[in-house]
Amino acid sequence: MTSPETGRRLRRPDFWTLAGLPGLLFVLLAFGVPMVTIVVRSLTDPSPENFQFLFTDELFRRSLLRTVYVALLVTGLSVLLGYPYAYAMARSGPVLRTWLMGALLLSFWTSLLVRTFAWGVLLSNTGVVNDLLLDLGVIDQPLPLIRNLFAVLVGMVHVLVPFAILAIYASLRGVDAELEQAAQVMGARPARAFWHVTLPLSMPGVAAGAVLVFVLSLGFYLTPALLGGPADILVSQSIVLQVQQYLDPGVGSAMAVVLLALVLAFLAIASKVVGLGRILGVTGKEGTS
Amino acid sequence: MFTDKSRSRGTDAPGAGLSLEGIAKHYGSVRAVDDVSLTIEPGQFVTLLGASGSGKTTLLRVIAGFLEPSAGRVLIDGRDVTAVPVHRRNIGMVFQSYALFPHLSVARNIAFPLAMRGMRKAERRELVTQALESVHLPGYEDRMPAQLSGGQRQRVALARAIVSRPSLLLMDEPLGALDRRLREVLQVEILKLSRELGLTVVNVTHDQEEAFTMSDRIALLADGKLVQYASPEEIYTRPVSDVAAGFLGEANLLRGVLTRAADGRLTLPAQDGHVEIDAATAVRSAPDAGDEVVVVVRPWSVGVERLGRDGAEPGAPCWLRGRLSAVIYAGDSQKLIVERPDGSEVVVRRSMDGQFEAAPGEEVLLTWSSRDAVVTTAG
Ligand SMILES: Nc1ncnc2c1ncn2[C@@H]1O[C@H](COP(=O)(O)OP(=O)(O)O)[C@@H](O)[C@H]1O
Ligand SMILES: [Mg+2]
Repeated sequence: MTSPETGRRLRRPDFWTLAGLPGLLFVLLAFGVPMVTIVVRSLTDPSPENFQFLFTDELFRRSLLRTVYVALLVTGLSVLLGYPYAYAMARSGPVLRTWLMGALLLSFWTSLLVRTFAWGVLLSNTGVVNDLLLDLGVIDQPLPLIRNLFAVLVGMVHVLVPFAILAIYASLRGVDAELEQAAQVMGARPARAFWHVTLPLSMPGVAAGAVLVFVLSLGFYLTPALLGGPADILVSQSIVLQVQQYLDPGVGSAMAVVLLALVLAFLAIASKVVGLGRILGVTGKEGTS
Repeated sequence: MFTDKSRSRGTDAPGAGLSLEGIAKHYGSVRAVDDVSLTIEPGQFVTLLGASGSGKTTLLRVIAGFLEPSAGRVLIDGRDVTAVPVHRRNIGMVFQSYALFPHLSVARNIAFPLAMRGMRKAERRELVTQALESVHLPGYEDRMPAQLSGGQRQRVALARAIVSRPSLLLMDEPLGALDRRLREVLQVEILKLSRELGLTVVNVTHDQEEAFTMSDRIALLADGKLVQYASPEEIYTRPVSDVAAGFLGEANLLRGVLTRAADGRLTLPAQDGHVEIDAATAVRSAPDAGDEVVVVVRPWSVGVERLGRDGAEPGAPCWLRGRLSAVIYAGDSQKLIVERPDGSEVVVRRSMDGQFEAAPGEEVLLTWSSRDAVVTTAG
């Protein structure tokens, strides 16, 4: 699938290209320079042996595997939870759609920190959920709801599910509801009509949402740091540990480079399969060809 | 019904009879369909004809089962199916947008209704091939819908709608997106195919010509109400109202209140003219003086001649004076537009040969026989 942008890039610079220059400059300075610094540092502080150390470090390998594992879980959950929401949004009337979209944007507009702390308040041993269950007599010991994988998943899915929803929603909007009706006239129960028609046609959106959520999960720091257990840390936490606790920014930089390489490699593969424009939301609607 | 796989799939499979009893569909205060009752005999080709917004699609969707009517019943072969869900009605449907599944090949699109009804793969293949042949697209099995032209998509949609031998075929403006020539070709093909299969067809269109060519009967809809349900000829020759007359074929509508002349004849007062009425042409009850009527005069029934210089009143029972404002050549015929002194227009059609050379601006006399006009009422 070739994207229509490839042709557009060749045109001579127009107003919008020029208008984009300051932004480009900003990204270069604010993003490019630190990144180069990190790469340089990972190789020179004190030497490329930083990487050698990483590859032999059992702890790092475990945190890397754990990061991928958590990211996969978060991705799966986000898609599973996000799909019905996106479907309801795509097929509902204007009123319900506005409410659903509003709820979604509200969670976008709320600070990540606030949302994560809110989960802390809800899930802690003396938190709202445990208090309620204890008062009701359902349990007599507080449930371990925080400082574990469960809390990390809850927090991360909460933050990332809107991305999955929006990607799937964009895809579903392009699937004519009449197709599902056509399937029903042809003898398909509503569930079968969905399964054979709408679901396959919305897969590009599901894939785009999944890639987006997966990549974002790989670099998550705040939520796992605040809600996760101290024993099973993720790569982002390892990096912070290296820099702040072990005072070894060279090894920390090397870790960051490995994480970045992982993300880029994954994106490279995913863009072959899904199309990068779709992942980044540049091309909203799926063509039928 | 369709789960009975031993059911004969011979070409003589008869279509179902369809009855609508007092169907209404309201959206808030909008009456999209308003108390429509009609009966369609097995094997008939019926067209729902009406202007945009007259409720055709809504009615078709009630028949298909997508919409629950606010009132009334739908009966297929005498069985009340009002509460039967779409997927159990054994209906074939062609959507205006064709609704082909873009992710499935032509063959899998056409096999879809067979697969949903539990037919085995080997059996499906043969029926798909047959269906493609019947719509003149043999060998197109492996194409994707995006690789087809509009007309080909239409044919695939048709093949998909008939492959499972439904007893009822519904079509919502199936030819609306095609150009005129292709439309005419497909009209004939669809008609032939539905006759061969003995299908009962409900077709929706706003194109009166299409309705005229294809239908056994036409259900004329306006503002959600059934205006007239009859054969095309009957609606043309005996329109129940000015709405019906205006919808099928060109019509000149003369409105007024009837008066009785001294000799007992009924006339419609007309400035610069004289319009006598033949009571036998009245569509509803016998007309009488004081009745408000609409007299329908078809363009082909009107004769046109140069106005004599003497200014004497013609002796014909029906005549009007006017000024020729336009002459339009339409293939083998000619369309004349005559402006009347009161500003209204009369349309005349005539063949090209043996007629006087008419030029815009000329004063002309229009005449017709009162037997060729139809007396009806405002609807
Ligand atoms: N879902 C709906 N909600 C509200 N009004 C509707 C809806 N569907 C149709 N209508 C109204 O019902 C009337 C008939 O519509 P429709 O059956 O689509 O007409 P047609 O197919 O003859 O053009 C129109 O006035 C339309 O605006
Ligand atoms: Mg319509």
